[in-house]
Amino acid sequence: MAIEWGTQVRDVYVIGAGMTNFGKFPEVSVVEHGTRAAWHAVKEANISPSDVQAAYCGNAMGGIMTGQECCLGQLMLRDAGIRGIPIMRTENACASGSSALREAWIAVGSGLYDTAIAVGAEKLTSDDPARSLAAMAGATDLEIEGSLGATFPGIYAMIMSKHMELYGTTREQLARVAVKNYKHGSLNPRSQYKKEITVEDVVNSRIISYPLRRLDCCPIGDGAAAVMLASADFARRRCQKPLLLAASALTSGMRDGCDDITTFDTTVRAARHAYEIAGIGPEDIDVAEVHDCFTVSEIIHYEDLGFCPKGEGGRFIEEGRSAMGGTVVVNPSGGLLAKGHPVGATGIAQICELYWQLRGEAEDRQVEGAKAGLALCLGGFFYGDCAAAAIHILKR
Amino acid sequence: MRIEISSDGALLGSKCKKCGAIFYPKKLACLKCLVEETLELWPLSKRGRLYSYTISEIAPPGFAAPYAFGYIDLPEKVRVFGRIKCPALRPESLKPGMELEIELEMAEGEGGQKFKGYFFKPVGN
Repeated sequence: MAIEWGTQVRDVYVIGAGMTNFGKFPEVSVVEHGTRAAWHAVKEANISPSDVQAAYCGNAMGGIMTGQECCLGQLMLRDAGIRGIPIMRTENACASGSSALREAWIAVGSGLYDTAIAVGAEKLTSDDPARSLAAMAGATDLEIEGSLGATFPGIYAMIMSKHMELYGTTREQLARVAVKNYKHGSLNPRSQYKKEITVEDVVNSRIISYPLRRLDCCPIGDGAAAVMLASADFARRRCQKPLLLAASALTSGMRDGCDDITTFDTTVRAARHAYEIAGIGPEDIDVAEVHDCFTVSEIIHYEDLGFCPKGEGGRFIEEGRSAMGGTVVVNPSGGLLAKGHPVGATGIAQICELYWQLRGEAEDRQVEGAKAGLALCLGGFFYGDCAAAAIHILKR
Repeated sequence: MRIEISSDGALLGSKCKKCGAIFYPKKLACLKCLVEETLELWPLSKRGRLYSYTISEIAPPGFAAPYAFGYIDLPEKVRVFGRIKCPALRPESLKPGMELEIELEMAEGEGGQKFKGYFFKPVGN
């Protein structure tokens, strides 16, 4: 698909990022999480809440999980001193946060606004464990699968099986994704899980949906993240080290359902789009935050993003090429698996991590000399593909 | 609702009289020709081949774990989701490529039998 609008979009910069800790916080509401992240992003950007001209709030499951079906954006931002301006909530299942970011990018890139905030928040913990499972079923086609017994982990269990069947990807290679990400998480103060695990831990964890085990899956948790975007002029006047948002791509599924589920066509198309806009290739990416909702997901992302050929994702992780010191460091934050996956927050948390990485502020998990970072965030699954794939590229 | 069955107990898809494409579930318009008028309801085969499956240890309300489900590829080149019932619920009992057939679940309701759901089972069982 040709990119026709490229020359009409002005450069957009990331000038601030803020994030809560991810984890289980029974006493903190989703509104409070969002307020905190938004406040910190504004402070980080060294601007006033009154400088924010438009706001986009990513939240996928606030209604079913908390009952707050409507107006989460307005509620979160009000207590951070942001009100009166256009505020909108975006939903694309697990890509809700990235979609909020995309809207903020469009707002500033189009020239309509000089600044915009994108905040994502989610509270998946509750006193009823069945509720989060039901919420996740809402990311499948409920009418023809989700209400007939399909579960989101079960769908990915089928993807995992198929990748092992077609390419000989091993149980151990899949486990290594979790081991790597838990190791990274142990170096991230905001991570939900901060203890390292072993391959044996993964392989012996309880079966969720054959062959998927508990440690192959990201956890249930809460949290929020926010980023401030600004035009080049505004960024130049206020920010020391703004980062260029070099590309934003969002695709939706096009398949009819009978295709190979071991590759996500949405990701492949979004990646092609994003690399073309940014004027770089996969070999130029130093650090990537990808959507490891399950261990097999990350292996597929290596292939779909062009880090390695199709089918060789298992070998890529086995050879250490996605770990610190590797070809491209993948999920230095700990990823969804270890850092956590409060759904609406994830896409923006990925950008927070890239922001800190490219500014040399990632502390113990710093990727040395990182200059270009990529974030991949996916949402929903039906007709054999994700419903939404969002890719953002940041450059120093 | 998008799931509909024929009087003969088959799942209904849509077939385009113009380009011959078959879709599941039924559609409003042909997604290739992008017109409504050429589309007709089309009963799908009752047998297909297993593409991939899982045995779930977690169950949403209304279902009891462990239970199996998978994607079944029908000869019409459509893929259908379905629970799978087999005599022994073990990973070795199911294999991609094996032939499965659909069985409808009916329930007594006002005015006779009502369609409740469906599942697949190995051919010959």
